[in-house]
Amino acid sequence: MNLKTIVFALSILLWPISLYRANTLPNFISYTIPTLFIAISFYFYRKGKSFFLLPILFLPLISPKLLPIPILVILAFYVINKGKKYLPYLLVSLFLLAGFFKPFWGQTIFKPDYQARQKVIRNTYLYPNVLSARVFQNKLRIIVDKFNFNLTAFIDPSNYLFGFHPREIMVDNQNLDKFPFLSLPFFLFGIYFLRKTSHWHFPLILFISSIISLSFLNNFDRNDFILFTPLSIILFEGINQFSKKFKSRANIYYWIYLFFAFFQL
Amino acid sequence: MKNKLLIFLLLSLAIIIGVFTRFYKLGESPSGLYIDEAAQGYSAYSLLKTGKDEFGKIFPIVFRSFTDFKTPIYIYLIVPLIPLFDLSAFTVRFPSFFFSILTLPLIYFLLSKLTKSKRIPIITTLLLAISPWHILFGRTNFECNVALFFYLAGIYLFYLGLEKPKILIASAISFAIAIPAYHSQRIIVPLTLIILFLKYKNVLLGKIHLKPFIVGCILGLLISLPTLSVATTPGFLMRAAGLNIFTRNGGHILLSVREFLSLYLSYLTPRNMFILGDYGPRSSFPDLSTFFLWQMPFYLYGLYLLIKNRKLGKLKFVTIFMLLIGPIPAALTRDPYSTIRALPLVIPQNIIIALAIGTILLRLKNNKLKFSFAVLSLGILIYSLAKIYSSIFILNDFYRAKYWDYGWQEVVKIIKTLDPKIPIVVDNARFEPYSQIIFFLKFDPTIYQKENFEVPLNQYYTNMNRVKEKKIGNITTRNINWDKDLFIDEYLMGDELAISEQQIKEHHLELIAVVYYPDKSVAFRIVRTNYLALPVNR
Repeated sequence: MNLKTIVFALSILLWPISLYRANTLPNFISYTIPTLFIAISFYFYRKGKSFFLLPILFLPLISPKLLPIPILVILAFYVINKGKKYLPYLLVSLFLLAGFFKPFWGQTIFKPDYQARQKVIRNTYLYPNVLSARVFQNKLRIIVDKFNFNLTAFIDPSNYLFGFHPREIMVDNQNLDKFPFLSLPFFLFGIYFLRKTSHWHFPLILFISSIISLSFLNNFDRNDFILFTPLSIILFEGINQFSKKFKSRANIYYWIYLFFAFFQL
Repeated sequence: MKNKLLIFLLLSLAIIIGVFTRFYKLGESPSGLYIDEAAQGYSAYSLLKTGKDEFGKIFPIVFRSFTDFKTPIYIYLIVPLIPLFDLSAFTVRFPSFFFSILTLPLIYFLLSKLTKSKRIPIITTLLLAISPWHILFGRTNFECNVALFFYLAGIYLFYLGLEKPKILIASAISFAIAIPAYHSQRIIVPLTLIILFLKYKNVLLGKIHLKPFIVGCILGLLISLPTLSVATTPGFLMRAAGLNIFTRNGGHILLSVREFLSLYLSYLTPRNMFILGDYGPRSSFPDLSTFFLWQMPFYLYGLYLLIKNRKLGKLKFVTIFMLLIGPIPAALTRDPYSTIRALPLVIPQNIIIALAIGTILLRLKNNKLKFSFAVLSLGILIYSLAKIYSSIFILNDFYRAKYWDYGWQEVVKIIKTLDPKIPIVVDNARFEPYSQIIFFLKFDPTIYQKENFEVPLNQYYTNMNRVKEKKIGNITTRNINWDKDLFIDEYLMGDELAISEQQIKEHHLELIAVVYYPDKSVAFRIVRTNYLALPVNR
């Protein structure tokens, strides 16, 4: 086993371990299964199997919170590849949407938020006229703000490398350590060079669909483990590109990385 | 010619917007006068009247204040303004306003020097004019904006100096002023100088530039001498020692490295920039982050362009080095996303956004598209200005008045109407109101210096002892002692916790006045003791 492989192995160990330690076993399993299905889907995709999207259709059956993911993923593949073969998947996912819509809706940002609405009403009285009050203080803003708050959490490297900021403890979030914090260069390399790989559609579509879908949730914590597979793929590509770019000099960074990652573990 | 006129008009527009957003209600909004603002103002007032600060120190190099040792440039800038505008909130905030406005044309000229593009400099200037981050520190008494101006002036003059060597001397002077202007510049300026020297060492050490370069270095060093003379004192190091992450992590290297990287990264991530903003109630406005949300896609695209585009030359170099060193001082301190300490970062991040907007604009060949883009931009500009108005003048004044120490001006007005023969006790259990009282009273600094002693002057920078009880004529600031104070005929003044309605009833106090916050909650109560009404057996 070479150094690069050890680095990759160590880097993807952290998130499952921290998730396992912070949760009960049944909970851990319930959050892990969707990730396994995505990993299987990726395996089929790499093998060129036409039914590679099939495992993704099971996600809403495991957790209704993940309901929009299959629709978004299938739609993205449908648009990019313009293939009719995706139509049955799309129909099934729409069928699932109808079936699981109610339990999903109750856990989303669309659920009325009494406190936030009261604040909006209170604020409207501060403005000189109704029009200006309505521009900045309205109920739609409550939803948009929550969505933006969630979405930017998913594109924030601090979320993955530091469990957000050390002094920024979020009430509803376990602030799990997801990847060793020195993984940042690997992620940057992975994102930058992702298009050079033959399978770049899969991690990108999965990641974007998942973060959009999870952003609709009132609390995405732990369900975000669904991002483990696409991020690990990006990380793997990043380590490869890092090695290619820096050749033997990369080993120096790898040793430093291992030192810190070992202690973080 | 047409282009020049358009740029002139846009630059004028940026400056007009800049003046409007920073000057409108300058002394009134944020409502109140924060303790540090008042302390700086009174130090300047004391210097003007006596040549000494309130502790009696002649022209201090750093100002003792609340033993947080404030940087000197800002306070010395207030001194000449007091005869012009009197001692007021407006006066103490004016240097921030003035230098933030000067920064607008400065950034335009600096970027014009760094790039041939006509778009990027003017877009950056417009973005800076409407930047919530830059506006906040342009209308409040924070030293960082003045420091930013001198820092940018140093860089601009440096690039001018590469063509006209004598200007290098002016660049050195500007950098030397930036260092004592704000704490974070003590790290940023030396790092910038090292980077610029390494990049341009062949030019600087060449025949033509060497002489002015050496003169500049000597002059810069001479200007820095006063700062260097106190650089090792506990007072000078007070802020760094109290705030740095290494002491908080008990010197644990792994934890410190992790925390530093985490903090460093937080200054570059969209979540903090566009959604969360600064958590401090005085270093942010409600419902407004550091940047507008609509700028986020441009920031991400701009970052990509900055890495990918190899034709950006000096602009790329300056943007990247400012982006990389900007978060360092802030990341060394414990607060997450402290926009005060990271203010220099506002420049490269706005350049990155401008780079994306400029590139998109360049790609629009169709006139209809260009027109649509112009209309859309105008709409966004109007929306952004309205959002600024909503956050600064409506929500901030209503919700954050308490954090801006609102109410002391009103308290002092009431104090002036009270019987001067009766002593006044101002409770200082939760705050230190003496600086605001002497500020609004315009209390004679000579008397204040005589009546209040903290440390011998030869220990001004070294002795960290504090005396919390202050004497201001018939006013004393100290904790209210109910056992004793109730039996003396005096006025008591305190916040809702110090003097509650129940205490007034229980102690038979006479309510003189109540000062309310804008949200109608009680800020302060002023009462008079009534020992004759107290039960005999007490």
